Amino acid sequence: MRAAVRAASRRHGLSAVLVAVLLGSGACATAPGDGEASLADEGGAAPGLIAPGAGPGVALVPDLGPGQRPALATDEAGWWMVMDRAESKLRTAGNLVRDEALNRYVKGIVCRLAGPYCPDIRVYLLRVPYFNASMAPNGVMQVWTGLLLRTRNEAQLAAVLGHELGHYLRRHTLHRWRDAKSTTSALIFFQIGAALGGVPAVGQIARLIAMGSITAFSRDQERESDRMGLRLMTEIGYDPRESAKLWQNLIREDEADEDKKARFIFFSTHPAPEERSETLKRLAEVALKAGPAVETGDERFRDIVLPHRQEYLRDELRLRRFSRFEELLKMLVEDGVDTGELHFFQGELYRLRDKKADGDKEGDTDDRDKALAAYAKALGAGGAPPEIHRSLGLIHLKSGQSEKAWAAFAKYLELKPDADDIEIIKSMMQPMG
Amino acid sequence: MARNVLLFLLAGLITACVQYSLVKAEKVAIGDVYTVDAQIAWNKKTEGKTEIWTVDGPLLQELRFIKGIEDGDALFRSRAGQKLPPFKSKMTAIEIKELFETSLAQIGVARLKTLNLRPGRFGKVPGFRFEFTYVLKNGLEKQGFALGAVIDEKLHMIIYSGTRLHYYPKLKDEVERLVRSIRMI
Repeated sequence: MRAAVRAASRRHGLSAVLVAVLLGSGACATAPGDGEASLADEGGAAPGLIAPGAGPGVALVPDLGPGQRPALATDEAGWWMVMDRAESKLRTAGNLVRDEALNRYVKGIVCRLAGPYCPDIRVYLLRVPYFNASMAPNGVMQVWTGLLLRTRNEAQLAAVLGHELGHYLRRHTLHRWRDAKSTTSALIFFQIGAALGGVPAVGQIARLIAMGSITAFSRDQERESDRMGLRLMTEIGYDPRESAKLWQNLIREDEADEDKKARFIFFSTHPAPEERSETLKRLAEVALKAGPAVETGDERFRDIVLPHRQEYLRDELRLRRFSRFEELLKMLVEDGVDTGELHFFQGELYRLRDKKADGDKEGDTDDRDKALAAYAKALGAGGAPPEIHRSLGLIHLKSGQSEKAWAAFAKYLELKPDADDIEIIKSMMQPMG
Repeated sequence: MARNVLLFLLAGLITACVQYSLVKAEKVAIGDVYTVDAQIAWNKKTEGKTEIWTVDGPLLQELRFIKGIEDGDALFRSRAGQKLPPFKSKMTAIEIKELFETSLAQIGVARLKTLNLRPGRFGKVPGFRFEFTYVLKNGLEKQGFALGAVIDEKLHMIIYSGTRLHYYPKLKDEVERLVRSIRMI
């Protein structure tokens, strides 16, 4: 079964990611009416006992205290030991993001959410172009750059980070492990970890840590973490409504994917995300009644994260998941922040896809025309990199318009006289005269 | 008896996995398009239209000959679930470099940088050359260069890469001599 899941997920890496997303950031359909419950019902201020995620015959586990490590002779200590070992390799991972400001920023949000637990959490930013964050039982939190690309403000980022902290504080891994053992379904515990096998750029270590955290958390645990995340973010003043907005954007991106099979695993094995989004919306209204939490942290987020957006957009482009990327770019353009850069990437998407129009759909245009239109918008909006002119040159060259191509290449060299491909551009321009 | 059969099968499997053969230090034909003069002996294995040569092992350094891939072919062999982008015969050097970058991104390397794309001769054929660096997921840094040309609408490339600190520099001069010795057949 595990092999089957792995094989399926490799075929549909995208959906594996969404599976991870949904599990990692909370993916539970909540029964109608659940949203009416108070946030304090679960994950209340006083460390209590986990009840909602407990299966039959499982002893209740108290919440983890600040600075607490499990006793050596316990199964929990075993999990911690495995994760500690994996963490030592994570520290030298090739795709670890070392930008100081960005690390400080994300860790700062985690610390404010975690309060007294802050020293127990180690955050690792990884350059992986998929939406995901995960939490291992020993306090290792992974945040992937694909998440930073898709959260629009600090509040949305805090919603995901708070959710992950919920898994840690409530010791969900331990709980699920004991539950799985007691119901002789331990194999199921590893299914989702195996599903991550299809995601490129995720090393064995990242996968191992993810297994210790996002592997098949129960729906109740996800629901609990959702509420916990919402409570934590609201307590420090973030607008809880941003949580549902993030979720809706993810649904929209997923639905735009042309590869319908890629969504199959996700929709067949997990609760409908629409329901979850609705629940989060209802919970946000409850939270808003309790306190005037309205901050979204747009500016701080833009100051720190936006300078890296071009790198993350390039990572996404290279994955060639065109229909999904097209929708993501459309949403980001709707937000209206630095649209020149976004239109440039829309152009790049169409230039690389280079699909001919079917001709039987009204208004259908070739990707080359779409690319030219997007580049024009980018130049109008400003903020596109000089490479836009090189791209324009390449398209004109393909269309046999050598004069236009020549002009575009010349513009590129004018704007970037130290370009490291200057010699090849010049050699291409020679036959054009 | 059953145990012997098992051992025999196991031995068969092992030898089936490692399909390296010796490349002697002499003039070697790469497909039917060109020859190179190898100054040292290499180990060679074949993957479709690609020959992979190594001295110390493919994880440490490899010299890859991509022998004329055609319109629609991928640059590298894809693993299950990967959809590597196709080569198109009308691609310019810039687009072939993009193809290389996208292919490696799909395979999952980190911090990939390609540098100094410039014209380069592939034997007597005008082609292109660029350098690159990337980091494996485990943190190991790799370095390399690629030389290529489109001949009769087919892409030929020679890609040399190895670990940055030792195995890339170890055979760099040897490989430079080798690519200078390309003679079209």
